[in-house]
Amino acid sequence: MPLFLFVTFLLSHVTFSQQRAALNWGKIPFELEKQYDINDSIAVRVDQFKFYVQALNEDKQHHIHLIDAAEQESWQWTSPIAPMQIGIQAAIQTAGVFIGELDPINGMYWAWNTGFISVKCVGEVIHTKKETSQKFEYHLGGYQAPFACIKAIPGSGTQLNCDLSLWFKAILHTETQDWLIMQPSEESLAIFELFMASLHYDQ
Amino acid sequence: MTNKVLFLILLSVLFISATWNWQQTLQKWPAPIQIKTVYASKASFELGRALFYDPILSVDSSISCASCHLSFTAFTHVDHPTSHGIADRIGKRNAPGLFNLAWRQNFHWDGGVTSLTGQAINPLTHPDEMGETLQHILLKLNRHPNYAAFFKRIYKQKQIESWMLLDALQQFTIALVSKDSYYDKVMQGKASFSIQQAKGFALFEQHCNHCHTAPLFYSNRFEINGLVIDTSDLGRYEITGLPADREKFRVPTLRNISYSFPYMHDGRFKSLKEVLRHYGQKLQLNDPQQKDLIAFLKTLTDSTFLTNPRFQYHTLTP
Repeated sequence: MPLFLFVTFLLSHVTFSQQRAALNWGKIPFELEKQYDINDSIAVRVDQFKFYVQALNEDKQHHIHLIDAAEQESWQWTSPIAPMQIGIQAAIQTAGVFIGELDPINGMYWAWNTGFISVKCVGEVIHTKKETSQKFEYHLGGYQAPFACIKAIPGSGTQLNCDLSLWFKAILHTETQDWLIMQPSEESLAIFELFMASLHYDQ
Repeated sequence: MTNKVLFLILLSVLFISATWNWQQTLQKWPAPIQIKTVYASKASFELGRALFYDPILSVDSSISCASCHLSFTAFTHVDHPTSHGIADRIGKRNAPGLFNLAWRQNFHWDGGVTSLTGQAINPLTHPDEMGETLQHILLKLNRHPNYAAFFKRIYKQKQIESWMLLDALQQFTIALVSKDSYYDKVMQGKASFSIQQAKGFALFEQHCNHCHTAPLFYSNRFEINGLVIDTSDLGRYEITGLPADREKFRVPTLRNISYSFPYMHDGRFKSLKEVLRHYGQKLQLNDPQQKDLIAFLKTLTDSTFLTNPRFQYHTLTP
């Protein structure tokens, strides 16, 4: 019996691991409020960048974590070893849970349309030659089909890499560039898909 | 001795009959959708009640939740067609009555909020309503001489957090239950309809019950209410983005309807007569029939609820 309890104790602990998010601009660490060149005429400055990850473990706990580029301590967290997704499960979004990572003061809750923003990114696109700039604001989220911005992160591992240069280069290649996307729509889903493509795991 | 036995038998029959009727009515009520949290208690109810009546929740401490949701008018607002916020700002939708909220799937005219706990965030933070931020409300509450102690007693934490504020408000609003109208008494066998009310009830069952389903006189549906199209408010469409939801609005409850004027999502009709004139054309109801229907609708007034001191102004004393 003591052996059984010991094994159970061990199993309940080895299922968790330390996770880390590496936010990069290409090969260099990403910094908020820093101007990054995309090409010889366009640069980007990001002032706010945060996103939710959720471990899809089968227990009944909500393993939700908010990664905020402005809070370095949020780049590391403990999570069950389980498939991870960007965004929060619809059932949790509609259940009226507002504790911890889901506190509305984190600025990720949509009051007018129950739900949480999965990815928030705010800043400016700067046209370096014209010396003009364009503010952008992406609030990508929503749990209702067909525009739900919730998706599993391919692969697995302990370090989640996010390359913002890949994301913004892809955005600039899109045909319609809508810089203010703050509600679920076809456009928000398209930008969210591009964000997903900027993520990959390192073992 | 025989008289005493007969009296006791009669009393038992009356009691069983009354209980049977009451249970029948109760059985018709569906299971609540919104549930009380683990913090439900008399203390959390009183805390939520005090917060509901406290203008500290608005940015300039000028209005409270009760400013648009008065107990005497079924927790709605009868002075303006639409909500009246800080600095005389006027919103775009009519403030709905607050009662029987536990049975609602979603909230607001467009159903944009799916939990009673989260509902309060909208009026608290809307610039045309209370215009506050949750951060600032928490700052004010944490500095308040009474609130910190009351919150700590219930939630066992030194610092007040948003979830506690929302939970406390929910403890009050979920307790606003209205089920003691004249209609309920008739259903329980304690009263009977007049001829006009009975005619109105028959018309109601024929034409209205499909959407305003008894006993809640409400349904968790969104319907086109047949009003002249107003492109500034597309209702449910603004939430779902689905073309089929354009100009659809939540079906409101008809309980306490004679106290919750003005009517419709934008408060355009001041009286039940005007509402019945609008629907009367569609339903082909003549004038006497409209009057019968109004006579029935008035039986849905729950005076016990409207005047219940337990739901009225309250402040916390240490």
